[in-house]
Amino acid sequence: MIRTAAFLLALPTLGFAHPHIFVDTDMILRVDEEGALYEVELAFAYDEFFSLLIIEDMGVDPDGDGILTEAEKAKLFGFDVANWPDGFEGDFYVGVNGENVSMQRSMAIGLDVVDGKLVATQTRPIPFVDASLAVIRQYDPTFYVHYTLQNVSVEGPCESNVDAHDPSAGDRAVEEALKTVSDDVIDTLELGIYYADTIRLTCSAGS
Amino acid sequence: MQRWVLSLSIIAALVIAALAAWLWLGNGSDQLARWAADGQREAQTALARGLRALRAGEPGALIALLSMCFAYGFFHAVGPGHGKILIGGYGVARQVSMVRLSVLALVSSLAQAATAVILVYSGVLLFNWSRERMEGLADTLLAALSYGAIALIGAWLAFRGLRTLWRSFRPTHDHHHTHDHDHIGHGHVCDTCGHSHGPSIEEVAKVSSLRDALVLIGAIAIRPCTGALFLLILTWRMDIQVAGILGAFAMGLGTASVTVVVALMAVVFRSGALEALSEGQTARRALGTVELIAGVVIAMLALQLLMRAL
Repeated sequence: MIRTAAFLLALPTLGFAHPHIFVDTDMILRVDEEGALYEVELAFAYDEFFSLLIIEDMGVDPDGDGILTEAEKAKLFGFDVANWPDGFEGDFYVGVNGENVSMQRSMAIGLDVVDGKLVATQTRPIPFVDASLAVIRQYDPTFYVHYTLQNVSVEGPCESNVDAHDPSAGDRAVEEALKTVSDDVIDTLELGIYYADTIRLTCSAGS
Repeated sequence: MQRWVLSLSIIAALVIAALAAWLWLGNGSDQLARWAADGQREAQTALARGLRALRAGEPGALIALLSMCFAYGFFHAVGPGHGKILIGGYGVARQVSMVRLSVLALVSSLAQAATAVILVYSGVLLFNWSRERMEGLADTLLAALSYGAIALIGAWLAFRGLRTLWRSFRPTHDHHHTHDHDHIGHGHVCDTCGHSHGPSIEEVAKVSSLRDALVLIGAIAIRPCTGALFLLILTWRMDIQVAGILGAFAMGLGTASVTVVVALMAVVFRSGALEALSEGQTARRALGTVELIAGVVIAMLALQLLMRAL
C-alpha cells in the first residue's frame, strides 16, 4: 500500500524525461540462410537543431548554410560512435526469451547532410541469434533521445512485423511497474522503452 | 454577494483539482506530453532554420528566432518540470499573493536563462570546456543541486506545517499561567487567545519573506535548461552570440508563460480550498495540514528526481 502510494506520487516525474534530440531511423536487419540474425544497419537522421549543433560544434560549415564539402563530412564521420560511454547500449536492443543479447559496438559506415539533417549510418554485429525469437527495439532508456522508426526492412528469409508503441506510454509504464512493484522500481523506472516500437521477425527458413 | 464570490472560488479550486487529477492519474499527462513533444520538435526545426537565416543576414531573422525561442520554452515547460512543482507546491502551501508568486515564477525562469548564459560563457571563455562537458555539468551536478535544494524546501515547508499543527493541538490553558491581564475588555470571547504566543492565522499565513523568494529562485535557476545550452553553444560557434543570449532569455519567457499559469492556479486553488473554513483552531489545523502535505509532496518528487540524476 505504501509502495503503491509512493509510486502514484512518482508518476508526474515520469514526464520529466522529455526528449531533447529527435531522430528518424531506418533499420535494415540482416538474417543468414539458417535464420540467424547477425547484423543490423541503422541510419539515423538527426533533427535539424541537433544536426546544426553537432556541425557547428565540430567547427565545420561556419556559414551555417547546411552545405558541407566532402572534407567537412569526413571530419564529422563517425561522431555518433566515437563517444560510446560505459553502460551505453547503443539505444538498440535485441531480446531473446526476455534477456537482452549483448552486442559489440557499432561501426560507422556513412555520413551525409540531407536538408539540414545529419544522417549517420552504422552497422552493428549481432551474435547470431535465432531471428524468429528476436524481439527488437530501439530506444533511449532515459528518453533524452526520441527515436521514430521510419522504415524496417529485412535482408534474408524473414519478414518484419512492427508493433507500434502504445500511445498511452505513461499508463503502460504504471501498469508494468505496479505488476512488478519492488523496492527499487522507482529508482530504476525509465520511460524510454514505453515509447519504442517492437519488431519481431517471421522466418521461412528452419531454425 | 460575499456568498457568491466564496462559492465561485471553491468551484475554481474544484476545477483545478480535477485538472490536476486528470493530469496526474488519468491519461492527461500522456496526451499533454505527446502534444508538447511534437511542438518542441517543430520548434527545434524552426530554430535551426532561424539560426541559418540569421547567419545569412536575412531581414527579420532575429525577431523570428526570438519567437521560435519563446515557443520552444513554452512547449518545453508544458511537461511537468521541477520549477512548476516548486512554484505550484509553494503556492498551495503558503499564503502568497498571485502577483508575488507570478513575479517569482517569471524571475526564476529568467534567472534559469541567466544560469545557462553564465555556464556557457564561463565554460568557453574561462575554462575551455567542451560541449559535452557543459551538458554533463547541467544534467548531473547542477540538476542534482537543484533537486536537492527543492527537496530541502519541501522538507522545510513540511516542518513548518507540522509546527503549526503541533501548536494548534497544544492545550490553550498554558497561556493562563503566563498572562495575568484580563480578557474581559476585549468585547468578545477569544476562543484561541489570539494575542498569545501561538501564531495567529495572520502570522501563520503571512506573506512570505524575501528570503523565501531568493531561496525559491535559486533552487529553480541553478539547473539550466538543456535547450538553452544547445542554443548558446550553437550561436557562440556561429558567431551570433548576442542573438543566442537574447534567445536564451526568450526561452525563459516562454517557460515563464507556463509557470505563471501554474502559480495563478496554485493560489486560486489554495484560497478556494481554505475559504470555506472559518477562523480558529480548525482553520489553523487546515493551514498546517495543507502546508505539511504540499511540503511532503514537493520533497518526495524532488528526491525521486535527485535519485535519477545521481
